[in-house]
Amino acid sequence: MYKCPGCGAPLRFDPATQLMVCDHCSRQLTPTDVNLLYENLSEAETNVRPEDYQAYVYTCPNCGAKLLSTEEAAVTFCSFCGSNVALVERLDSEEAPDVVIPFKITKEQCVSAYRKKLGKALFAPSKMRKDTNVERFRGIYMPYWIYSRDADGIVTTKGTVSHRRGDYIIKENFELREPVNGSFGGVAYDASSSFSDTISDAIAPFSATSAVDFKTSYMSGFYADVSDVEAHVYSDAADNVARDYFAEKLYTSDYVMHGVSQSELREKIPISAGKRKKGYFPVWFLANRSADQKHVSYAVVNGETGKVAADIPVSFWKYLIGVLLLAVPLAFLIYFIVTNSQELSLSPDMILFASTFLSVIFLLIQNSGLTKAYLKENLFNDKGYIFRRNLTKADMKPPAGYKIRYLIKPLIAGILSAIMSFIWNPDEDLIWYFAAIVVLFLLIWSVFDMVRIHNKLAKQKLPQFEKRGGDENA
Amino acid sequence: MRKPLFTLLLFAFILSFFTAFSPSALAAEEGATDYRIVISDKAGLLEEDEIEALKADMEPVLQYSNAGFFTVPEDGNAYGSAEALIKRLSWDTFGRTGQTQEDAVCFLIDMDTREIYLYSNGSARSLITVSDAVSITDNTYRYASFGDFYSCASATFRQVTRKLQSGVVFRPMMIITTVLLSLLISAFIMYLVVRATMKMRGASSADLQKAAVASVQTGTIEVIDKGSTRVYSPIRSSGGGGGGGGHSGGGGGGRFGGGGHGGGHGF
Repeated sequence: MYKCPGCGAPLRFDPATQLMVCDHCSRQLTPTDVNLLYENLSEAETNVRPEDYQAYVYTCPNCGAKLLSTEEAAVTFCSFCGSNVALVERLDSEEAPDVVIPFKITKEQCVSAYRKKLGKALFAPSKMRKDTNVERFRGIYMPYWIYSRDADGIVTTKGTVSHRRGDYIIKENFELREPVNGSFGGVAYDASSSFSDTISDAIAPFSATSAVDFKTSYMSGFYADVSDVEAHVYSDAADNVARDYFAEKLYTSDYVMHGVSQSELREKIPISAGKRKKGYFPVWFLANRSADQKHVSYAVVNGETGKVAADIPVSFWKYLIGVLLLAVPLAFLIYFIVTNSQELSLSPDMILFASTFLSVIFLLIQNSGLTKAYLKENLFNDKGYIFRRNLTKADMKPPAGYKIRYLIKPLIAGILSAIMSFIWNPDEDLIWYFAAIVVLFLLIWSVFDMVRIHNKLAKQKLPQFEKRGGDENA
Repeated sequence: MRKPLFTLLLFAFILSFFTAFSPSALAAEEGATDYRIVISDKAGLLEEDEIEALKADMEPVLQYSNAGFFTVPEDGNAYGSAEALIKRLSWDTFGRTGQTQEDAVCFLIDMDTREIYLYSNGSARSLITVSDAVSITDNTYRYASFGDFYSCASATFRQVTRKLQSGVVFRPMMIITTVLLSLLISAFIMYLVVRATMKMRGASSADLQKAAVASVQTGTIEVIDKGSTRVYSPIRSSGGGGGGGGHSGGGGGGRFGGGGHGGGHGF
């Protein structure tokens, strides 16, 4: 813990001023000055290697998540599983990152941005907006791998231009060579398996120019997550971003004229890995536990830019009220139009015909959502998590029967509509109306299922980070 | 965004109670009219007493329009469809003045195509909509299915009268399907709102590039000719004229001057 040289009270890093601030005597110091004050402590006294820093490691007894801090304090809730439990503390040394992007967004700004996001979410549960909930935002430095790529060499591509001359098609072949020399740095991916790629992508990017050399003073008042993902996991992703950049810069009309596409050019750029760094990037983090206490949804705010990403489930009762409020005037409008129109009528065969195609659309939407939901529920949407657990594609496949209880409804609706519309075509009106009522009922139920699938996507199972035994209720 | 949207929905909800079910009944013209009843039972479906009873059922319609009841036997429809036949019968029976079709509400039981059809024209056209005609024939076709042609015709004209006088047609199944359809549309629209407002969007490749530190220098592109290949691919000669004329499509309206409409049902 860093103490004020004037009054001895604790110093904290203030995102608003980017300075170390003493709340007791209002003294302000730069992080560099503070680190200089403390660097005289010898390695023997701290027993910490120069490339490491001393930190308190707080472990959640519920999910096993770890948080690092340079200060000793009572940590009374876990930011990853949302449980209200005292985290177990021990002192350890951790590998220091090369750079850090200090927090620029204050907690007040974070809460304000989050509330603004929630304001647009029409059906968000009320408890997400409560002060007692939003105050649980915690500033955490997430470990990131920062990649750089160099392009140095000759880009060689082959192009073909075809034209017709009489009865012959002439294909002229070319080889294009262009020297290139460039660098692309600062593309970053998170190095923590507890921080899902979906969320980290949603708050990206962090600006490479904002990074400064790491000093432990920047961590005062904040926490850090533990890095447990190796750099090679995201190496291909970094290659792709760099290739996209170089291809956009190189692709000129010469390539177009000689029949070379941008994607072909992209694959031929000679890319090599540059210097790789590890950094701490600022994230405001909040975990919301579900009502059944078995799931958690996350809200994160980019601590540099203020960009918000949040899993926002739907309160089903609010959704139902919204549906009814819209359905009543809509019903009167449809009835009024149909009964007073000179030409229009609403017959059950029209409804069934349209329902055939609507069922297919609903099937596709549900199927896509269920696949994503299964991956997210089980944290299979994070490359780091997949790497840590050596998961294969077979491991991540949804079990048979996972989707069927949802897909069966639009499937039956579609089959029934198709049979009525294209095969059976009975004379009896009551059969048509009965079929239309059944199909409409099944399709309404399917839409409600789609909302339930959205809620699956808006949460995940409580994480278990190599935890050994115990839970909040044990 | 939540509060204004909820307020708007609540307003629409309340407003709908004041604008729904606006009956479109037309006040009957007072005084004697030149409207008449025509019953042409070529198929011999009705008894004499049933014809007289049917006239009584058709009387109230005269306040608004001519009323016609027609039946044709098997092989009695030269026009192929009940709709085409009833249009012709209406025109031939009640005629027209200048370019205006005479007001008429006509009901046909076609033993050839096994259809019943309710047709309205002139000013009655605006009172008996297509939807009304479909609903009325939906309600009465079963009588014809069981061979009770008098009840079919009687029920039809009684419902026509109710519609002309009060603007109401009894259509419970249509109301149920309308309610369910509205719920479905509403639920789907709200689901799309959920997806639009609650979705997490990742950063694009362009966003990541903007945040990076990058530079690139290029040289002159050297283009090397690697030769050419030649493939024989003769152009096929076209046979005959290009394109087809096709038939001109039938227009709306029809041979009988158009204007009328109706709805029917098989039995």
